[in-house]
Amino acid sequence: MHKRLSIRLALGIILLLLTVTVSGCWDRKEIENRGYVLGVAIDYATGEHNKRKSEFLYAPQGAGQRKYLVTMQLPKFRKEASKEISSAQQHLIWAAEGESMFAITRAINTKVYFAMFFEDIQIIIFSEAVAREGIGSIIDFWLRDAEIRRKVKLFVTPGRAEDILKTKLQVEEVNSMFIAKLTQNVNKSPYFVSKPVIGEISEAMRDKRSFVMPLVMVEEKEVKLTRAAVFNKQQKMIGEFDEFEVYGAKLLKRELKQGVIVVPNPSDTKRIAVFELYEADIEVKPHLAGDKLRFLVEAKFTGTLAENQAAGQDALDPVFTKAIEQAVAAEYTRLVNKAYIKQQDLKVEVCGLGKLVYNKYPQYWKSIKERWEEEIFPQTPLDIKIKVTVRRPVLKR
Amino acid sequence: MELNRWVSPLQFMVITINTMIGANLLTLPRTIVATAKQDMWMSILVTSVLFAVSFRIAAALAAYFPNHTSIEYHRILLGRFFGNILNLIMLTLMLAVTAQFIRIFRIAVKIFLLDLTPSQVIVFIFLALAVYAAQHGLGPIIRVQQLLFLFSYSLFIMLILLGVLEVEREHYSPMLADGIKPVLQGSLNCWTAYSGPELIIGFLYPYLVQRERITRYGLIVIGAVTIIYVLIYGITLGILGAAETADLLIPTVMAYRSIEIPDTFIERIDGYLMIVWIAICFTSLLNWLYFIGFGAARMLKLESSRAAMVLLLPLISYLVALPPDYHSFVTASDWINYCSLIWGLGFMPMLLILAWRRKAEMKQCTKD
Amino acid sequence: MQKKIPLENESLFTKLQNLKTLIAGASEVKEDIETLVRTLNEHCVESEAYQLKTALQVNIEHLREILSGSDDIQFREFWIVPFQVKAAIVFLEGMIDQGIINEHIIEKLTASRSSHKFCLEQLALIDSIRNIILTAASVTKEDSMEAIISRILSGDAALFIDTVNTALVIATRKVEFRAVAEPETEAEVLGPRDGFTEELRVNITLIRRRIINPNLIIKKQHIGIRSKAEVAVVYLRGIANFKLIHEVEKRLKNITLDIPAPSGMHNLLEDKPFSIFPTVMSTERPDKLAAALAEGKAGILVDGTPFCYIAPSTFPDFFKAGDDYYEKWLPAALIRITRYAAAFFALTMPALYVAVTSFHPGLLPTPLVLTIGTSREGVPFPAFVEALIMEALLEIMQEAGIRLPKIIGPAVSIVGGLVIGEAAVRAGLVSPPLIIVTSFTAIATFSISSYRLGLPLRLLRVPLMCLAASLGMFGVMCGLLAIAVHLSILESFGEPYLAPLVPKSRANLSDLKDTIVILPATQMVERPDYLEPPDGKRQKGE
Repeated sequence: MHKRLSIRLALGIILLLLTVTVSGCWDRKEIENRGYVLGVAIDYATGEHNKRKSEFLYAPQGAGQRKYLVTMQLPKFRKEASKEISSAQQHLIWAAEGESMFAITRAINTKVYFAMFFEDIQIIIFSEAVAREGIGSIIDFWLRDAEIRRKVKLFVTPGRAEDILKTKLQVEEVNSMFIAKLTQNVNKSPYFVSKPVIGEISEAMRDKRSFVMPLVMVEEKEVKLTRAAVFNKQQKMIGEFDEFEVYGAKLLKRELKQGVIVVPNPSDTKRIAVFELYEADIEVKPHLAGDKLRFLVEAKFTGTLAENQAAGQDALDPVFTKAIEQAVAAEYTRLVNKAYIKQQDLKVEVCGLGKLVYNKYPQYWKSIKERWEEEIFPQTPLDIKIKVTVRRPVLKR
Repeated sequence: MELNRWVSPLQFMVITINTMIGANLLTLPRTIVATAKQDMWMSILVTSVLFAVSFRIAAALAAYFPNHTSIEYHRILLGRFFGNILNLIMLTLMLAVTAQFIRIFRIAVKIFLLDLTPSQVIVFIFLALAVYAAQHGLGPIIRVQQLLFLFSYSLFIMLILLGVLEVEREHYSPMLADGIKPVLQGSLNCWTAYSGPELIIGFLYPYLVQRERITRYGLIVIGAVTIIYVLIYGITLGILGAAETADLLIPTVMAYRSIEIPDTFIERIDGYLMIVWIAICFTSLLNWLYFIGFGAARMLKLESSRAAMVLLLPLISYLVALPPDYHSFVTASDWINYCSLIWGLGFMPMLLILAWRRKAEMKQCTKD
Repeated sequence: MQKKIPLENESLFTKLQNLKTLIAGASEVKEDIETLVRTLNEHCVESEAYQLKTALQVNIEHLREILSGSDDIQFREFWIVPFQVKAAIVFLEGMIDQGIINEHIIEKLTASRSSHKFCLEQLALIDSIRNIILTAASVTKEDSMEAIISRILSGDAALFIDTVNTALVIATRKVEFRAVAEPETEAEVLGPRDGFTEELRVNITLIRRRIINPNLIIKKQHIGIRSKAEVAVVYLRGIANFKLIHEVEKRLKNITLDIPAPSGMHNLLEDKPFSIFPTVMSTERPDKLAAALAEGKAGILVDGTPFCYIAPSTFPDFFKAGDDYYEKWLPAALIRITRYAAAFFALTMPALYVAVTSFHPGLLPTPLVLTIGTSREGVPFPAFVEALIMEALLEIMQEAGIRLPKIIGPAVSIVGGLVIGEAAVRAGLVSPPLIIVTSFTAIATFSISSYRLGLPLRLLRVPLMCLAASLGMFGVMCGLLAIAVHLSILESFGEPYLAPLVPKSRANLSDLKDTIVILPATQMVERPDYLEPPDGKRQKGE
């Protein structure tokens, strides 16, 4: 009994001592002393800075050049008292120049005592120049670091990426958070590509697939998400989809859920009619006959007549409805074709069609895997069968 | 003896499930997917069948010696010297499995929870906790496992099921694109996920009630564990895709990083998963530690296994720190995996044949 | 020079010598006094040493010796007229019912009637007095002085008769006690309003009233070396496991404390006294005890305390309240789950706050992190110290709330809640989220149904916070695991402390019906299996 007690006591004391000694708290860092990086912008270093400022942006690294300018956006913690001053900036900006992302981060740490903390990164923006040069080498750090989440959203901007983070927006919100939330509207208005998340892009890189990212633009106090930057297998941006191509590509990718289609009104061609999609059933099937591959897109769209600008036209008239349905189907067919041909022209395939071929014909896929985007895909024809049903004209005849 | 109470089938099932499911949860998808690709769930099924066979053999072997632990019947079957050598091999194997397990634990905790904390501290605290728990005999060990089983697994499975939200069906097809061979190869890599019960049943058998139905309970356990594995690994694969899973060091956690439903507070699941996972690891470690200590005490004919368990602490800490880098650790764990495979499907049947022959001879003798 | 000293200081020398003898004498006196004091201390009358004699006067002398110091002892000598013998009645003045002594003893004994002659022919003197003359309800013969003394001390009257070496002890106890009132520590909505009192007999009545069954066994015994506390073990024969009853009685017998405090009796019965978790539950509610008895547990009632002890008590028992059974099952089950959750948060909330804010802000969604970060901006302490300060404040305020007279109780809450909390936030010493965490912790502690389980949870909060401050979530998890291990090591009267939560076998799974959740009363057919009751079925029929 005494022995047991002593052992237990001894263990207890050891544990207690451990607690005390361990109180070195290696990882402790108070919540307000971390720098919650919310957005990252990656540009080329321009070299236009004067000497003093340039000194401030310099990130020491043994190898590599002073190639990229990485700008990080952090939230500003304000005391409640100062809340009235709403014109003040919502964020803090720090930047450094170098080739290594990590060295740049550490260089920023010489300017601010916050420990850069990446778990809350919302967006990473590449300038178009950087994207055209290739992002594969840059993105490695953002995939390797243990703090980065896989839902970080990636964007390309035609101008300087840092401008997007530095702009003061109309809303009282940090730009990065605002832009990240903006992507939630991807289904409402499918004019920019969905799922621009780092995890998906990492998968595409592993699978040696091409991928897309939305463009983000800034003007005055506004940002806008639009279109798509197309990257090839070498992670280089090689082109852009316009809004309609993005729409069509989403259809091809079986991602289209909602959306608006504007067609000429059948009863009065000078005016328009608008179809709003709310139920989509899309199927894309590869067919292999001998050595010839074809794709068949079959889609059933159901929606409402959202707008009928031809006054006096009875929206419940079956002839009219039929005409609308045909017009919408034709418009969808046009969009799909446009997107498909654009991809064939660019010699990239971003709609997961290759994966479909692999799933159905794994052996055939193995033989063409290396040549898919360059040779096979540009010559594969596409058949489109789209059926549109206008279920009701919302509230009014 | 410390083990004076009878272990019911329910408790046996809890012990075996806890032993099987441990640190492997986080890293194993990588090793399996690397070979079996999207058919990894089939690999798991194949392993479960193989393992069921191994478990049946172990149970049959133990049934020949209802009043002895494996330490003793190895001696009976092979003679004192060779028996002890076999015991030593078995205990070393168990030690290696434990050390490998803690190494994975250490890596995951270092990466995701405590970046700068020295890994010795993490390992020492975790081991000390297990040693403290193992000091009071089998009764409290079973109780703490039952308690943790109830809470940690219910939480864990809830978190795991959240992963279904992000699964993409396309990641599972095509089925058997490269034929059956990668599946079988992957199933060999999967053995570590199951190994455990075939070793501890040798220790536990003398204390079990309803022994005649032990195989049935074993099969239930293997079935349940298979479901859990298929669920977790399947969801991981479904979220990440084969190439990505094979590429990441700790794919499970990374997969759960992808789950984010904006404005619902359902995000950062990976962190919570890691925290619950600590409890799951603990139960597994507790079993391994206890049975190694128990086996060592039996082998050395010590009265109590407490001292052995305390001595295990520095030994395991040493073994954990042995592989200098990740690559050598992966090589070592491959070796450990194959060793336990050989033990389960090579040594065990051999011993079973020996036991069967011995019994036949004894019958012959009594007849004569 | 050397010679000169004694010559010159001869008078001094004698003085010194005198002083020396004086000191020696004083020390002698001191020793004498010490021994005297010691003997006075040790002087303790052993009532066993005395024996009952036939002579009344001798007996009275003995009694006076034994009870010499007490002035509340009364000797009333008189003649038993019919038999022509002298008698004396001895009692404690404050503890008896004067009416009984007057009407049923002295009046009866001093009155003369003709039938008395007949009595003496039939019976011995003592029996005839007991069986015919005295009209008190309970009269017993006692012939050991020790027993008589202890009966007198507990409020009975002893009748000594000349020429007889046996005394009659008449039950005359009438002690002032608190009326049966609503239990203050265990308030309930739907439960009965009566609670135990300090008087053992009343408490037994409260139980007897609820379980009308001859198998309700009440076994009394006295524990303690000097003071004899009356203790009753209560159980239902045929339902409670005899091993359990044996264990309870053994433990009671093994108590060797000289003057046991009735309200601390549970501390003498614990399996592991070093553990901070209570393994013997105390309750003020007779309905709770009755329910426990019906499950096959044993109750220990102690005279002098309104708390009854239930053995064994397992961890989930501390989360049960009577209301759980009087409510509909689903709300009751949800409320019980809430209690478990409250206990969990009461234990971990500050630790989780420390771990999350200073180690893993990644566990929180971004907007929440930013909110907490903003509110902590400018707070000079690290989260751990901040939480520690608030914790200390909370504990002090709780203690003040209990110890203060009820009239100024609200003042504490005003000062504590408003002034300190509000001012601390205003001054920027403490961040508002921590105030929320601390108040939530406090409220969670109050909502656990058992005060005694709340204590270890409060105690463990600080070590958990230390672990959180040193190892973050890993530390918190290790702390929780250590607590889980400790709970599974504990036992209460031989039963695992976690009993119904950790079923021994599949048959015991039915115990879970009334552990974390509650099923409708009609579904609870079985008694808890872990107690191994001889009769396991609660509901008969079919």
